Amino acid sequence: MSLKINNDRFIRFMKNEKFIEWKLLPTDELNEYWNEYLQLHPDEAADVQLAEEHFKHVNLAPLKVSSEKKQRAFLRLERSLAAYSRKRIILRFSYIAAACVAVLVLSMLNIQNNVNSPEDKPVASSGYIVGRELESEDILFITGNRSNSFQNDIEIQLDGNTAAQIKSENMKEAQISIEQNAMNVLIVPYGKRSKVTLSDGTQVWLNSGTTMEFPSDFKGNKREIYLSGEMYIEVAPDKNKSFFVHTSGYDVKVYGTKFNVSTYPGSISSVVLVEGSVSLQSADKQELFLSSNKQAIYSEETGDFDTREVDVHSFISWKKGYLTFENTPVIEALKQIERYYNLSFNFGDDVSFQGLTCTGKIILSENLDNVMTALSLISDTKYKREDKQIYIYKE
Amino acid sequence: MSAIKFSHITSAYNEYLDSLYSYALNLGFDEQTAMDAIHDVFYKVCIHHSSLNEIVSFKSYLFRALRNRLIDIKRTNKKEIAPITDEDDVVELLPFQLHVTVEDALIKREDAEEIRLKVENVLDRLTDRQREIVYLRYIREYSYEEIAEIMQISVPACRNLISKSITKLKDSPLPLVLFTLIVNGYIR
Repeated sequence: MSLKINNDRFIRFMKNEKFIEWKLLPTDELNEYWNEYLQLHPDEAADVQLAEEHFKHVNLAPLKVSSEKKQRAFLRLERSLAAYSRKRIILRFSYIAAACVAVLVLSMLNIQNNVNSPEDKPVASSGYIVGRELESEDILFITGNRSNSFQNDIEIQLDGNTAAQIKSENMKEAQISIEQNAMNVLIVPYGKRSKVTLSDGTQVWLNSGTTMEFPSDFKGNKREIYLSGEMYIEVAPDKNKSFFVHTSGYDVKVYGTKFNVSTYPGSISSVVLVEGSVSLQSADKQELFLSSNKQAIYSEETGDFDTREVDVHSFISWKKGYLTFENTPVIEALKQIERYYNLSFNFGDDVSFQGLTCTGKIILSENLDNVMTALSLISDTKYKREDKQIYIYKE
Repeated sequence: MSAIKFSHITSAYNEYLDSLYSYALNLGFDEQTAMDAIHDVFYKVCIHHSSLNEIVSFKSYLFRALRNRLIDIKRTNKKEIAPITDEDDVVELLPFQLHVTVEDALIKREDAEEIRLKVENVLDRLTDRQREIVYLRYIREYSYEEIAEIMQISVPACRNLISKSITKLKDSPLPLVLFTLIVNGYIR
């Protein structure tokens, strides 16, 4: 109906408290009152109707959550759910036995004291680090209203239509039908890795503890995916469709390229460019162009980026099965090992890794004892294993 | 309604996040607490979604669950300050504030302001629980049955609350209304 009117006689109803009460709390009594009123004043029916129509524009506290916040809240929910399924799945002993066969090669690990800040030197004490092996968790691939879970690392290939090819170690190649216009979610828990080939041919390697949302096919003039965690990506060039990676703090715009994005909650969030060109944009800030062999470290407080020259290979070695550290803070190295092996460390108050960095390479395997040997080396500690409990202590 | 599927939860999340968020804020909670409580509600729904067959209306279930979660939070916070005994105490302590705006291009600004004040007057004369009903009824367009379910009161109790509010509106004498208007004018 048209609200175009020549007079504003209806306004007097909107200013009438009895009318307002009727609109806010239409009780039988008030309905009766206004029905009677209209019967007595049929000529005012049109005005009352207009007033009712306009009263819809009186709003009571309509609050909205920004889309960025919505995204972050949803990722948080996904993480909680992933953590829940981790707790629920009972660890099978056979799984540990199988995991303990592989070999770890520790090629070189040096601990260097950071000489810049002598007061940061580790305190020599007999404090404990208590670690425990977390229970195994499945990789989840959610498409439409169905959720598929996999015990081993998987490779997913989308064909741009409604099929996804899935390859896994101990499994025959399987095909899953996916919804064409839906967003898919892949949740890779700690201790697992996966690879996805998107519908445009872009290849994505997902590190442990990562959630990625991606469409079955890229519609429109943009290609967009959402990330929490870490990925290495080789974007298929397409000049007509820019590629965007959205994270909780910033967006990465891609101009056909290879790069690594790491955005774990509680860890340093950074983008490392291997080849090509990308731009970074956090809310309200200017677009920052990053050139190859550079790392941009995001500051959550200011929303700014610090850039520095790096050896890119140490940042993407995880996808080839080893971790490289170069003057990496021990805390950060331990976090990476935690995620890769799905371990958890709790440091005692008197154990300090402040100012300690490490340099070297760990070839990743699933042998827990060898990993623990490496750990005790880098942290200058001893470890004791009792069933699933691991105690790390200082001598 | 049949068993709730995971996709229902995802779409419900997108559909109701805004309204659940403003509901929590109207109940006097800050942004962070509101988002935390919403997270907890959906987390619980996701985990138990296969056993939630009995829910008549998923929408009102979400509002009720959020309200209960917020009451729990309020109770825990309250306990830190002083011990409380009666469950109803906490509910009574929950404020319910509504912020009125009139966005209508066809109404002159002075008129819109006057209407806004009048609506605020009407709302000011209600209790917090009555305002909560107005919100659920007027903004969310819930039926009395659904409102009763969310607020966990009986339908007659819900209707009673409303008729009480009407009596209250009727009883308030004109001078008092004028007084409120004047005070409002001074504050602004």
